[in-house]
Amino acid sequence: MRQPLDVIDAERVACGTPAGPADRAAARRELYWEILSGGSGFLLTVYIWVHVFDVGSLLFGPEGFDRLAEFLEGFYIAQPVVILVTLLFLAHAVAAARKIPARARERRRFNRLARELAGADQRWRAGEGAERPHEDSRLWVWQLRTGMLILVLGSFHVGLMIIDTFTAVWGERHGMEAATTMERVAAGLSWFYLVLLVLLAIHASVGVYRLALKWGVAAGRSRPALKRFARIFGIAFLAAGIFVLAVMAGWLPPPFAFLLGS
Amino acid sequence: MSQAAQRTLKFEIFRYNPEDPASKPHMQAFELQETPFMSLFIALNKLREEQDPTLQFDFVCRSAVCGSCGMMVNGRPALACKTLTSQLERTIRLHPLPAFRLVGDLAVDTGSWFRGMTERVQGWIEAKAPFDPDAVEERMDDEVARAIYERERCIECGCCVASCAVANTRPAFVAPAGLNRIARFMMDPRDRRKTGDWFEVFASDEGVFGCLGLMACQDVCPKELPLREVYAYLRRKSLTGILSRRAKPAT
Repeated sequence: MRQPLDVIDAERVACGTPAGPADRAAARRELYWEILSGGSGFLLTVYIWVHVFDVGSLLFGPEGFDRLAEFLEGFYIAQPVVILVTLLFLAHAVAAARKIPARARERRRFNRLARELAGADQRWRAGEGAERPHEDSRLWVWQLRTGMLILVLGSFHVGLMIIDTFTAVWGERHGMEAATTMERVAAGLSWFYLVLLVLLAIHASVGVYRLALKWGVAAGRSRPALKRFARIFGIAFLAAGIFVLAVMAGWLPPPFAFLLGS
Repeated sequence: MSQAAQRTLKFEIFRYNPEDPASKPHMQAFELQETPFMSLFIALNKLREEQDPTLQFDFVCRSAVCGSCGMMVNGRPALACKTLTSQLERTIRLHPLPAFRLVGDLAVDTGSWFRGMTERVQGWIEAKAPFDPDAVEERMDDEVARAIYERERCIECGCCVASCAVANTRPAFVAPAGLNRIARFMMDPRDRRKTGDWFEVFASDEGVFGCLGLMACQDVCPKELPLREVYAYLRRKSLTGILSRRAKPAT
């Protein structure tokens, strides 16, 4: 029979931990970190939705996209937003990463516990207090995994957009242009963006769920209800994103192009 | 109750005696005939009486009140007295609760942990004024009394601590039971301390901000305490707590 790892933890004296010095400044710092990680996550979620809609101007044809881009850049809305979102993106990564267990042994323990809890409920017949299968721990692990991938893929995307917005390296002028964007996506970046969309949908919906849970938003709703909402939210984002991406990659013709007469 | 087919249960029980240098942690298999309405409490006692008198486990009340029989049942913390074998598959795997000091086999020392936690979070009433036996008792709002009672229902079995991923990896974390305790005394109007006093106790990485919100604690709690409510309450209190002053020192 396999020897359980738990014995290591069972042997450890958990009660003997000294009380940390109750430090008001440290507590205050922790609160700021918590607000930063949750708040930046929330703002980024709002942003990706806005983003799907502003890129969605492509549904009106390349001209629609160019007009919106020129408007946003002409009034200097796009540039500060790009910088702000980049900073928010990095801040969120730093603040949220503080919760990732650093040691492999801790991660093993996390995973094992999550697996055991989830598995136990399947072996448990319906009974008092035991009918709820545990999936929140698994969701959290996936939130971390998708988050780390988004940091990598998202950084590339953000880098591209910074170059696009502030230089004339690609296209004819400083700023976004439908032609370069579409060419780039059609040439193969579409798959990259598809992956990024899926990752964002998972990460953001789990994140929104957990944020509501932590701060008692919709406290009257059950956790399955919150999860259902998060799932709908994620699927809606994915559907909208894929639709826009399909137009961008040239898989679909822009459906509303006739409105601008092109 | 249809208990037609009586099963032969297979138990896999964790055995280890830390006091005995010759003892090695291992799993021991037992077999037992299932009887109607058999709880793990009955099953373990039968095993000890009939098969192995050295088997160590804790029991007192056998009715989910004392909180001493918490153990890992098929990898999930549960009270043995509240778990019927009919809820489980034929093979039942029992481990001691992790995150506590092992006494032996399935028995763990939750008492020292809870005492340490209580001392650390100062989970007691600091009276506003010296007790006056002749005075009329202060009235309490019904809603507040109910809210306090909801926190007070905790039986200190340690199931939440055992299921908490953070408590399992960071021993300094006050764990669900500790946060619940803090909330209980924070909402008590008889307590002298203000949110400003509590702020540094609960708003730290060892307090509510260490919590990842995995909610295993609430899923396994045998008393079904509304722990999600507790964490949201503490988080929200931290927003005002940062501005709140401490209570004046007692005179």
